[in-house]
Amino acid sequence: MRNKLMALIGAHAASDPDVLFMTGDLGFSVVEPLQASIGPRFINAGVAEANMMTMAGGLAACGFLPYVYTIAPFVTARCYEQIRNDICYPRRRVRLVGVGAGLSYGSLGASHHSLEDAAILATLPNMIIASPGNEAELGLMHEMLIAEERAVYLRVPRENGTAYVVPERVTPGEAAYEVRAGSDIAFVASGPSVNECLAAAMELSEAGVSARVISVPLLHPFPMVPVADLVGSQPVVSVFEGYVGGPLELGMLRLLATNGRGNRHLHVAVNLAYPERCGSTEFLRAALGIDAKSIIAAARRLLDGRG
Amino acid sequence: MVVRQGAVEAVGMIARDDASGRSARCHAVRRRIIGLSHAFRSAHLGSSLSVVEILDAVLSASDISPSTASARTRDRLVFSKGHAAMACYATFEAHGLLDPSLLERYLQDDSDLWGHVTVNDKVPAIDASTGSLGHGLGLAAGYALGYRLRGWPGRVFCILSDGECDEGTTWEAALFAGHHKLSPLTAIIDCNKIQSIGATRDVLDLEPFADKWQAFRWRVTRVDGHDLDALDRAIADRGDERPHVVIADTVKGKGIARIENTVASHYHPAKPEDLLS
Repeated sequence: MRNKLMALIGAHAASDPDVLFMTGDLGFSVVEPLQASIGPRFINAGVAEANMMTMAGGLAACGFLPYVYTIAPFVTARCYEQIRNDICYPRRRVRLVGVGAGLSYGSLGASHHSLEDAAILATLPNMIIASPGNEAELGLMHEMLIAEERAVYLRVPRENGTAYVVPERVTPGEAAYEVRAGSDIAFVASGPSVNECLAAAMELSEAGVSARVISVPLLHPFPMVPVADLVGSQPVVSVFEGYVGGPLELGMLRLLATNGRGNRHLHVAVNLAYPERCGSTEFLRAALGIDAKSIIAAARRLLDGRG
Repeated sequence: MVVRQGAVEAVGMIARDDASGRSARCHAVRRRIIGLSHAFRSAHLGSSLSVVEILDAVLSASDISPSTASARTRDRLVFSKGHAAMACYATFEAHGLLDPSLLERYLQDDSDLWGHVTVNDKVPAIDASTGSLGHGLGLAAGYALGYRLRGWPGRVFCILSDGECDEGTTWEAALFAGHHKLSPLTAIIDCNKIQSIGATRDVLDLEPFADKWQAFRWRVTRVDGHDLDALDRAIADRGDERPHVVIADTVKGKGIARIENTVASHYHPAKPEDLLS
């Protein structure tokens, strides 16, 4: 996913001389071509993310459009107040790019996991959060937000994602769509969890259960209208690779409370606990109950009337 | 809240730039600050009184004026010690950059100006919202880098408190600016030696302060922060390719003998007997 990301930013920088790229000294083996092509517009701010974010605010005030790139927790939790005071409050047009969303950095440990990032940024005015699940969706979100005046957080998973088909173009109000048809139950997911939902839907289909998968690549503001239209009155399992209480869950609960048609609903996310055992992304998804098997279990509970 | 009579006298623009004119302007600004603190029960009196000459010197050295306030490429001032808002507002008022009427209901419900300096459409000369310490130097570094990338000749000033040099982000910005030789950047530190609840030397001693900045590859000048001539000379000195820091030694609460050099001056508003003639 990072190579696709750098290609998108590179193309943007080539067409818009106001684009800057700032990194907190990360991006080995992916940022070098961009660095070579944009010269002084490539800024390594050092291992000093908070200051990088504040400087991005100053640069945006000079009319530049900075991409601020580092590993997801370091571009969010590390510098929350800088985002709040120096980006969102003065309405600076800045692109936060967090790579390694959710559990992407599996065995590197909790310091490198990013499970609260979307939730904390969704508390801020003038902030929009995109959460693509595969390379096509990353391109779609990047294109959709290219002229966006608000600050953007691009939550980028490490994996490329499975090759589900996405629309050619969407607007922020439309950024939710079906990526697999189904009639018994709806899975609503964002980012890497879309892939888990697709795997779960395939397994369920072998057991005769038809599950629809809806991708919501724009987490915040939650695209309430298309999601409501798509889920109809079906039972819903929503899934997010982050802590419970995140923007996808909040969006679904608000939707069902205001526009729901009596849908039964379960949300699959990480409970507020740190993982106890080291392991890969896949191991941790299973251990923390957000993998395809956990989604199937939630679907079974709803379909059996236990949810 | 009842606004006390006589306390909201405006400074009015004082455009005289000779020595006596500037001295009179600083006196009027100090008088205005004390009046505002008294009338509106505002804290941060001591921090405001220490930075008066620094603010006047920076505005005098810069091209920031009523006619340039909205210009994109003018000099910039990031007032990082945003809690000393009264000093910023009163100095801006004296330089014709802030409409006196905005201060008539300072800190009152449904008024314009906050107790920490905040970007405001009615005061286009305010370049940054501050209040949380440790942000200003990074913002100024961002501006300075942006000016260099744009090829704009303007200068970027940042006024910091000494207490906010406890913040790690101040030193992150210092390291970046020194490494990248951000010569458009001039930082002036209001070194009044008292931070929120204690003396700086007792809380986290900053000395040897000049050595720290030099070690971060800044050019350092240390001056009496109430001496306008010394401040003018230091700020006018563009020196070499390094960013420049002016450590301005000041007196917290300057101008009110009973509160000078006290921790309490950070918290207690002015009393009627403090009002200057």
